[in-house]
Amino acid sequence: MIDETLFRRKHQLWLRLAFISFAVNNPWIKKRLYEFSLIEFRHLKWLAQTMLENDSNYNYDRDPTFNIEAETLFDLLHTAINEIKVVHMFYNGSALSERMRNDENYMLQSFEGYLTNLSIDEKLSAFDRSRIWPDALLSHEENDALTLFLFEESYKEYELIMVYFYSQIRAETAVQALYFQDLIDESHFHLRSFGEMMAKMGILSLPRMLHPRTYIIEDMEHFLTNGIAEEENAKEECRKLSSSITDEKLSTFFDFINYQESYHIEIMKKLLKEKHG
Amino acid sequence: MHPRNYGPLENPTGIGVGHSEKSGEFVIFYLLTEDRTIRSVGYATNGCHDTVVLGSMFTEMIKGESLEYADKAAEKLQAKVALGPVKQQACAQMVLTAFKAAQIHETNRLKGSKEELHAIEIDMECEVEE
Repeated sequence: MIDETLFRRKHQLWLRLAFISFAVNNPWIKKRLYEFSLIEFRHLKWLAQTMLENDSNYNYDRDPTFNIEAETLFDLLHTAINEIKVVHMFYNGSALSERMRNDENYMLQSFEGYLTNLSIDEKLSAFDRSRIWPDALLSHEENDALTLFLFEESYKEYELIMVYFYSQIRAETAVQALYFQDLIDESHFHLRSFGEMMAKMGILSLPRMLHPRTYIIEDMEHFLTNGIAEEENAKEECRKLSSSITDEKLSTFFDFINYQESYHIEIMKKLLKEKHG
Repeated sequence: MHPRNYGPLENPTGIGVGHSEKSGEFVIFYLLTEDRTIRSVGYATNGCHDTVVLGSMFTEMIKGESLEYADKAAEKLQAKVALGPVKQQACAQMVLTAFKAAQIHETNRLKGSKEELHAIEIDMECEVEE
């Protein structure tokens, strides 16, 4: 049955696959899991559209016990397999359900393949709280700044994905929907980058749950104007971090993110114009 | 990050919001009281990590305590953060205002009000230059 329970489970499945991909070290499996997570995100979009057309309610709540932490890759895969099997019990005979079921049957086959063919289970360090950046020697202050930044910004990127996603489903024109898609794609990349960095430092964790006040937008103009200010703030956070970190590679990365934020502001300005015709 | 008491309550007796119209940031506070004792408490925010941490700390401080104790704890927390950075003062104000709003909502409901929650706008912003 297509209802808010299914939506919640699909939302969790997208998060689970994305965060497993951040946690895993094997490059091939990492890439495949991330692709699967993007497929799940597309499912979520189609599901939201269907539910909106049917006047069904959905929200971004998650089960209070929902967790992604595990010690090994096999543990993560077993949890994902069980979660997919539970999701399948909700599907009906619609074309959308068929599509989702087929995609996930392929995912199940891939996961079972990893469990059968990998001779050694990968021990994960993504959740060990070591808080050490392995690629460079950072000072205590740099380490603290990087930790805080990653927690703050990974939440923000998740929040932005879900806020833009909510608005995209309710876009009034195709152009608006395209702009929202650009913003969603950009935030996916940022979330992935920050998530992988958190995993490297052993501090990977789920962003906190979103309250409906965060994503139900009643005044789009006000939201976009605030969004521009928020992007400016994100730019400033990147700039501060980039200038406080002496490691050149890390510093360059944050400059790169900073420039991307600049263009988000341009997209949001275009959206504001589009809103006014 | 695992903040304590994060998320809504099932059957709260009071729901309050502290928010900044300018920045769009908010804290929503859920209270469940019985005989002036706080049986359960929850909160959610779209604010920064300082807000999340302060919300976690404050809800832990007042859970299971009387409303009188909670008011005193709120005063003490405000006095403590007044010694710190302006940013933290704004975050604390958002949390404590939401708590106050939840108490107002609870009182209003007892008087027969049907409002879903009580919201109070705050005059400070979390995103301030220090």
